[in-house]
Amino acid sequence: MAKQIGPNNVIGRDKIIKHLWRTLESESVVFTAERRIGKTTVLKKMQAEPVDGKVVIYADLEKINTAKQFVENILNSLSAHLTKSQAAHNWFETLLPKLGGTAISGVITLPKIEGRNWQSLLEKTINGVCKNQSEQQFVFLWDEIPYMLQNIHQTDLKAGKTQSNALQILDTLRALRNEHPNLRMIYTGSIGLHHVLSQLRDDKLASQPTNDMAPVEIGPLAAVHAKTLAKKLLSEDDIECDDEAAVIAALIRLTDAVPFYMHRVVTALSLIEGEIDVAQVESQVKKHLVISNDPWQMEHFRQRLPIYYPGDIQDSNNQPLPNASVAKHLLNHLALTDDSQTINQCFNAIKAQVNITQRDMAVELLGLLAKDHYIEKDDDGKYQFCFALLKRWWILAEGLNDE
Amino acid sequence: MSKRNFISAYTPSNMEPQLREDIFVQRHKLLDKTVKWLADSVSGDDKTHLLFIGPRGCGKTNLVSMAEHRLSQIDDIQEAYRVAWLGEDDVVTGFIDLALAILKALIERYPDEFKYEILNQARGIDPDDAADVILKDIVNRLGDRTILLVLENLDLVFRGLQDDGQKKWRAFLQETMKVTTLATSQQLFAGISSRDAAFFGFFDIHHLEPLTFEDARLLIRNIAEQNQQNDLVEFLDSPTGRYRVRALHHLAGGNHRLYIELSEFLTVDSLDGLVEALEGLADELTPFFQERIRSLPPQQAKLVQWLCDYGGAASVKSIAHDTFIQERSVSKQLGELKKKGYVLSEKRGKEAYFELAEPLMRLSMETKNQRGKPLRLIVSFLKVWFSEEALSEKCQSENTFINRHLAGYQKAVLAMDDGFLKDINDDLRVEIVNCIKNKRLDLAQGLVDELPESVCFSTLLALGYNLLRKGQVKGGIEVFKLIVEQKSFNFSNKMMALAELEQAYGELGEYDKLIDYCVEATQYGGDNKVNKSLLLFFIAVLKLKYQPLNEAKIALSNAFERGEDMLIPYVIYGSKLLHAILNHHNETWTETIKWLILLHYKYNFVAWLSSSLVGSIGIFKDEQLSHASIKKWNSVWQEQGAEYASLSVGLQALQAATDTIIDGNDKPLFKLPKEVRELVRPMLIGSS
Repeated sequence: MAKQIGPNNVIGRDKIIKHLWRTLESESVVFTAERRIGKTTVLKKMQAEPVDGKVVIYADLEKINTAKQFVENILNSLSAHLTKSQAAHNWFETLLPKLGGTAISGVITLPKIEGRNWQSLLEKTINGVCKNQSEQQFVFLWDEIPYMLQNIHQTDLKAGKTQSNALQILDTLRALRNEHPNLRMIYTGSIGLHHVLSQLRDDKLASQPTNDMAPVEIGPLAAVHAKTLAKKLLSEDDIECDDEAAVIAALIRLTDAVPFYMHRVVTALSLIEGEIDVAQVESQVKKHLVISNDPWQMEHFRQRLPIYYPGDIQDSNNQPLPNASVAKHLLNHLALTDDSQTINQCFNAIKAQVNITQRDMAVELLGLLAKDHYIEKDDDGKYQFCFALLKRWWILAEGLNDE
Repeated sequence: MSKRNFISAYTPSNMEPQLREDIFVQRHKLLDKTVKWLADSVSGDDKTHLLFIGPRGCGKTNLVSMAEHRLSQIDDIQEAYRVAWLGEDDVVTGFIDLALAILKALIERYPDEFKYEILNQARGIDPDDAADVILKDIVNRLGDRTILLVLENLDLVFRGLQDDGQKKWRAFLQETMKVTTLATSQQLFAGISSRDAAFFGFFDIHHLEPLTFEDARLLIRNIAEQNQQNDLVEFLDSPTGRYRVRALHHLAGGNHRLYIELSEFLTVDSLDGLVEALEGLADELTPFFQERIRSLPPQQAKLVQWLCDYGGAASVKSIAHDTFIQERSVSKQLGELKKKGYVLSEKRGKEAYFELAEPLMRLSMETKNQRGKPLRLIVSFLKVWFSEEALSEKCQSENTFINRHLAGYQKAVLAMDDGFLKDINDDLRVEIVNCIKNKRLDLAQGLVDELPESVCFSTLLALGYNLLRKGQVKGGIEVFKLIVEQKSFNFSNKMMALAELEQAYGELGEYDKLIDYCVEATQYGGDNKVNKSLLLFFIAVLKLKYQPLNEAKIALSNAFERGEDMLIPYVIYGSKLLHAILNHHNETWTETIKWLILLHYKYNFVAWLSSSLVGSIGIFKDEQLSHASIKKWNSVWQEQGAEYASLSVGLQALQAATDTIIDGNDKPLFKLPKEVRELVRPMLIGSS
């Protein structure tokens, strides 16, 4: 069933965690994936099992609405760690009054901050801790950072501010990363950081606050781990199968080995009386894809197209053609092809649907669709749907053929 | 006197846990799993967040109460968790309210472990910071334990938290991994179901299905058993009881709470009692339903109101036509109403038909505008409750009490078409057919008892024919047997089914089995003399047709011997008897006919044999007998019957018919009296 997974119970993520630690030796990371793939689970495991010498601080930032709250959050996170050594604790105790902060029952709050003053507080805090604890490496695992940036941006807009504190935070953090070799960060979140950045920059500013960070993407489980997880889930829910190997294979195949979907399907199976067979797995997956309340919210993938790809291009008749519409044509084409497709194949397919001559535009859209986890590019540069499950839903939802 | 337990339709959490267990229906597996998931979660590292979704009164609180109680009975995990059960009416307007409510719930239950003192420190600071302070204190006091947070109406809590509070709450859950959630909601809401929402995919969501008819019956039965209402238990097992529960099912729409309320009416048999009770219920529920409609956006409220007035299921197109709202908007708003549990939809072809999920909403809305007129839903209900004859009788017998109001109901019931009576009967028919197809004849038998015989018999007969037509002879046989064995069925219908069985077994060539079954079937005729004689005679005819003559003779003698009223059987089967003898080899005719006449003579039935002889003339045409056979058949009868005066009319008719066929003209018929001639002539048309 779907749940928050304890660090000890995480399956199949050792390799990506190892890769993250190795990357963090030299640079910070933007950690990406579609929602519910398991990013938070990985971060929580890294927090629970830090490698030697590292202070790992996890924070879920979606609750942050202002730059001040962000600084408070860092102070509160650090406080919990720095109290472990007396020297660090003493230093921290001296830092707080300098920042004007107070602690109530262990919760640190800062006084009202005017203008950009939060920036100096942020710098003082990070500079202070990195210099004072220079023998230690600090790794901040910041979950849902895009939400935080959106929230801050909204707060600023409401307050009539013209300058973007959100972008400024990212730029400040970039500068701090450059300054301190013992400071590393992982940014992650449910929505793509590139969308938020584009929104914050309003496509005018050239700020690239994450170009010093390594992109790392997490995908579904490897077959062997998916099998282990499937076995574990079936066993935990006391599900008896007529042919366990076949049921497991079907479960993995039909859920693309994404733990979230595997959990959901197994939960549904656990409520069925009697032995489970492959047909029941298929039926449950299909049920989740077609029932009217759309429990997996697959509709979101379609509805967000105009939001993710706003604006129009001019077609060959000089008529406006929405980018979202071209994106949809591309997805429709890829949904109906069994093999992955080259850029030219994709471009030719949409030319058959709309009067379009700009090949560059198709190339750009394919890249964006890949960034947003609709599609992926293989080693030959060909595109296909990221997830067979999404492809299947897309075909059903668009009525592309009869199932 | 029966012992009444406290059964609460509104606050099941106040009921005795054992009583809740005793009356629990439908969701056993979900409950077992829920307890396991919660136990694993509170005692392990993984944290589960369960959300049960279903409309008001569908048993959410009961399920949650039972799960929490069962969890409290698992000794070895008690130290692993603490329960914070937020009140259903706790108002949450922000993150701080949620933190305060959790603190309050913990202190009430565990006063030694959690304290209000932290509030002194939290006062005067920003509410969100105060919430952090309170929650941090709770987490510190909790130690290694987990909070089992029970939250009813999560949709309202989320609405109060707003986007900001939801994000703060999720961040707390993610950062601490200290909470297991057991929540309920009346409907899905954007805060959990939208991929943009913080809590998307966070909860393990279970939509609670409404009660099926059988679950509902079981629930009421369980309650009756607990209250030691043995008469009611027995009544619920009877066809009438089951049928009445079906009527309630149409009113309650699968809602647990309403069954508990409505079950009181089950044994009400007087018209005034029933009308009064239903109008009273409608009156009580009106403010509740009014409030529900008022809480909707105007366009949705208008659609619900329209469906209340309409009374049935309607397509988007027809709703749009009548309401002057664009089809697209109607479709969208109905989709929203469906998510909220106000309407149900069913697809027929390309069109979806929408109707109210809770029929009682219609009743209540009608109550508002009743102005003394009979309420349509009650009229429809009465149509199921009482047969037309019973209603007429009731009105006469209760005449002293009948007032204009009740008379209005009686008139309306008699004037209306089938209302939901048709739906119930259609549902039953489908269930019967499904049971038979799934070889669950035992279940089918019970269902057949519920349906009015006319409806049921035609359904079964059509099903039997259908199966035979498709070559599923064994299935057809089972259906016809079901008719024969149905206690409540008219015997003539059973005999019709036996005749069909003859056809069906004939296709399999299993006549012995047919005859054995008919012998067995004598038990289904009851004590009625005619029925018994009919069957005995029918068996004798079958034996004459399909078994050696000596056995057939014994059977026919037996029929005359044991049959106490042979007149009707003879009228029906007399000609068939002769037809069967005719089909035997012509060398047996002399001896058999001689024996037959003597048998009839012995029981003073020769005159009836004479009539049968007249009636059997049509066989010549049916069997396309050769002239030689006809002549031989006639001569044997003339020889053997000559000395029996009572047989003379039959013999004359047979002779005239034979001569007519041989001569090729109808002159010989003129020798017959007119009345006999008129009988014989049509039987010869087409004979050569």
